[in-house]
Amino acid sequence: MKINRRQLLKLIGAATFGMTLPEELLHALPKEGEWIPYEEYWSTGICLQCPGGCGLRIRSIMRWPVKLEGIKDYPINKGRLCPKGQSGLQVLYDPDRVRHPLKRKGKRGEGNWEKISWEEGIDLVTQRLKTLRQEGNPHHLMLLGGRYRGHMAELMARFMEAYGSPNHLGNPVRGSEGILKGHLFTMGVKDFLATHWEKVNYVLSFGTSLLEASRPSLRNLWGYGFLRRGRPGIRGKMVQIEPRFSVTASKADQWVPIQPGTDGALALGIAYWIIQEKKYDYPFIDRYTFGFNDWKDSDGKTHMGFKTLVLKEYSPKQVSSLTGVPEETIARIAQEFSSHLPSIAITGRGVGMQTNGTYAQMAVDCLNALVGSIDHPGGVLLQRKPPFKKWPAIQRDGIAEKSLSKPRLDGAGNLPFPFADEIPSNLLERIQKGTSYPIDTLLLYYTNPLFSLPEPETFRNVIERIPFIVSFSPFMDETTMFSDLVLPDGTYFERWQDDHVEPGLGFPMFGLRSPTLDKPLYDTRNTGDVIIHIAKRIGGSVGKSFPWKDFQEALKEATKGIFVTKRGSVQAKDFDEFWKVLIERGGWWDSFYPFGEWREKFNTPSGKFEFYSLTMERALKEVSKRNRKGLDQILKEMKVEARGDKVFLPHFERPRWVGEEKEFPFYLIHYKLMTTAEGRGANQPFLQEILGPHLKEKWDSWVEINPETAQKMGIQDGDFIWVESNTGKLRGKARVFPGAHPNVIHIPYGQGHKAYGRWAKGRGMNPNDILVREYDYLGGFVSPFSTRVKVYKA
Amino acid sequence: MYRWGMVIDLDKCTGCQACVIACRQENNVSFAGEKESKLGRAKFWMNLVSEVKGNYPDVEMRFIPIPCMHCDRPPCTIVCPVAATYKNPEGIVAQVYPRCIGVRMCISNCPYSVRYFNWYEPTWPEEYKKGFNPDVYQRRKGITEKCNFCIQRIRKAKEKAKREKRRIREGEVIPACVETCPSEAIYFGDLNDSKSQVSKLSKSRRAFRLLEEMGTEPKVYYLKEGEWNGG
Ligand code: SF4
Ligand code: SF4
Ligand code: SF4
Repeated sequence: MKINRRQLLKLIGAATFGMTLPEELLHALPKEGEWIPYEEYWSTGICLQCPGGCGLRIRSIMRWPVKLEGIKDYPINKGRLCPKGQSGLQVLYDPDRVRHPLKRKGKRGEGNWEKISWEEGIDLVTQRLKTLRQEGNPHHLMLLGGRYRGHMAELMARFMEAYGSPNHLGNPVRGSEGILKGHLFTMGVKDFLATHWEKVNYVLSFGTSLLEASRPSLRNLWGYGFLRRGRPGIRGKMVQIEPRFSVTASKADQWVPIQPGTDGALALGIAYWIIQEKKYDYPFIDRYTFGFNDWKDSDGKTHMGFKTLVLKEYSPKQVSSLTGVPEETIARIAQEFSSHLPSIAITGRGVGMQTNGTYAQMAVDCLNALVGSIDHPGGVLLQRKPPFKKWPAIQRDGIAEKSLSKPRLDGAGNLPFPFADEIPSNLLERIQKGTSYPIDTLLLYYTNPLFSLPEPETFRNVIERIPFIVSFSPFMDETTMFSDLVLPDGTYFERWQDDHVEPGLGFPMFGLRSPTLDKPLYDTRNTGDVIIHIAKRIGGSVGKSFPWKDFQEALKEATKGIFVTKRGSVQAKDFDEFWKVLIERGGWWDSFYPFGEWREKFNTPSGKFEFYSLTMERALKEVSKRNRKGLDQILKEMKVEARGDKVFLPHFERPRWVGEEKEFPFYLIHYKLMTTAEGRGANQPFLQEILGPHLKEKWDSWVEINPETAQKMGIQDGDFIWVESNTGKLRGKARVFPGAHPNVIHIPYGQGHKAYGRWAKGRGMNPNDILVREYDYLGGFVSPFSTRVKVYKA
Repeated sequence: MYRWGMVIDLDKCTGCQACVIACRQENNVSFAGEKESKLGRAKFWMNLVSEVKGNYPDVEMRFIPIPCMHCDRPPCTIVCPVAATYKNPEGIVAQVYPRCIGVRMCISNCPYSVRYFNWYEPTWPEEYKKGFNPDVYQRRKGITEKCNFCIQRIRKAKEKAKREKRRIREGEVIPACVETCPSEAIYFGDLNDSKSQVSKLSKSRRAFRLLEEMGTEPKVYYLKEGEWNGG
């Protein structure tokens, strides 16, 4: 069934005022005293200004959306929106959107385009992809995806598999991989965990940008308010551990400044106190964990447990010298954390963006285990998934089978990145060394590597070698500028798409985006539809893998799985009714969380929470066997310092920095603002105009520098300075900020676009431009906080 | 008679500025652009003001959202030579745009700096005009504008209540800033109703008003930040 705006109107119960407004009056505002009759209706959608997935109620006048609110009962945002969400109409009405398919006319990057039809655009891609297949080279296709939401991730992966290319770089959580790898090694989970704000009393946050850019952002903003004043008589405590005095730090009850890259050590120091004072949750540890005490394997060999390691190496004294946090502070936090239950330890970007990110995350996970705050009210919860119906099996023909077995071009899955899902930053080195085959065609979906990867210029070298690049972006971003063909998607107001929730609630839910306008504002098409169309045109097993008319039909099929369970917030007699109500409500959820079920069976070899990671041990042994190399050799290649049992236990590894301290005395740490939306909000004047409230900054970028440091260097507030690393330098305005760590230079992330629209382009600087690529090899990700810099007056 | 008032809990406010943008989108407040906004000419009917103090690591940072206080004794209205601004019977300090002649006395007489002048004709890209709220009147160059507690929303709620022959219920009028605040830090309602949330909160021990000593009698109350007591 196709739903148009009129039907939607009825569905949602439109309020109709008077007659229809003549078109010419539509965009004029009434003068005072005037009354212009209009027709108003409300529909639903899902915000996409960040990965938070907030439910939208969209107020439209005539056909046009005029205001966004939150869906009142939508669990993730409870009727609320953040400033980015509120500014969403500046995405829809962005005057610099790509309005129709474009083919490159001039030189690459020059911005000289020819308008073409959808038929011609789709023809161009299809022909190219067909030829690649005929030549037996489907692996020469690469797909770089970014913000996949809901089933788009699966759809794109399906396309790559059916087509026959292993070169899918589609990590939607780039920058947060360390958190995921930590959870994988301790709990066997490949996902973020939810915070149970409703019950928590004490929040120990390791560098989480909780009030600026966390996921899911709105749930956490609400959680903060609730922790403060949601329960009469209870005011929870929040402690923020972070080198910089951020907004989150300022709103916490206590801020603990720390040496960059040493969060893991602090967590272990806290663990030391809890163990020493026997303040841990003994029943939880006894029943649900493995490797707390020393243990014997089946050969009778004794292995070191967490307790032994921590008591040996992480006394408050030892930890204090590593982290710069006073011994008394460590003891006090530990005492509070273990007595004001339920308490919870959480992490964010900071922890996961270091070379030791994986081990640091494991250490923080262990704190939650020590106080039993896992799968328990007020603790971390496992995000349950909605019971979607699985799509039919993917068809692979002989060509696909053969080319899928080719090694990935980015080297993910091989030494020194055996556990990486993708390593886009590694492509240049690999290509320079000479890969066994070239990239012929690159597809770009919701990602902008020429802006968002560290050292984007190196990626440009990769891109320049690729003969044919197709972008599906709705915006003329840096990478799209460099493409040969643009097949623009619409914005999140103009398409059918489901939206998963980022772990935040525990219980299952998903959102449904439906087109707000009866047709897109411009000649754009849902990339989901376009991919299905291309697959069908390629035909054979590729086409057969997509047995749907369009993406909406594919979504309907998936949601049938939910329909038949007859549970949760949307239930109906028949599927058509179910789908209608889904649109009306904006999604589905089932607010029941089975506390205590997950902890009975962790997805680890021991079935328990692993202080000693058998998951990691097995995986590393497997790598050793596959590569016919000894474990120590492998660890050396992965730059892990520890040897023996310690490798599998959370421990502190010294962060590796790029740049000699003598020449480059400062660390460069960039951070996110509530207003920047990961750099995707840069073309929205509303957000530009409120950019950095702590320094009253707007429409600009700046470099934060500690007052004493600045004074020593003769730098005054507002001076222009250079920030230089060993790959490049940036010129920017110095802002003397007492919240800046004396040894750290802080730059907000999100500005410095070279394209992306009239308000974004040529404004401020992009810290990525001078980041050096260093890695957490164990976690398999690039560590953006590893760069040292020097600064001097410009 | 209603007496509209607002309470902002600074213990819950995260300084996110959702209220600031919600207000702009609701009230068709145009953006100033880089040059004008660096001259301090950006219009924020709801404005987030910040203060940073101290030295590392003893730093303090405060955020405070500031709308018009809707003073019960407004110093701004009495200086207007043409009565373009006045306090309406429900306590809202409103601006009558057609009457305003731009002498800006009200702006200089407002101790809270929450009145904004239109130095230019509002400039909107053509595309954005589709997103105008038709309930909010047009402003032109040379006049003053300010927060009016989303008077259009109050008007609508009143019409509805009148049709249904009843008073406006608690929670029925929600200004745009209140509606969106992610941490539920802003409350709005009738101060004359002793049972309303704003009435109760305005009498809380944490409640205070800005520049109370000036005798302007603001109807926007703040609740100060609390402290963890280890309990
Ligand atoms: S938190 Fe994210 S999803 Fe929610 S309103 Fe803000 S930008 Fe949109
Ligand atoms: S929306 Fe709420 S939390 Fe955000 S700045 Fe405004 S009052 Fe504070
Ligand atoms: S805050 Fe300023 S503008 Fe508002 S009523 Fe008081 S004096 Fe007038």
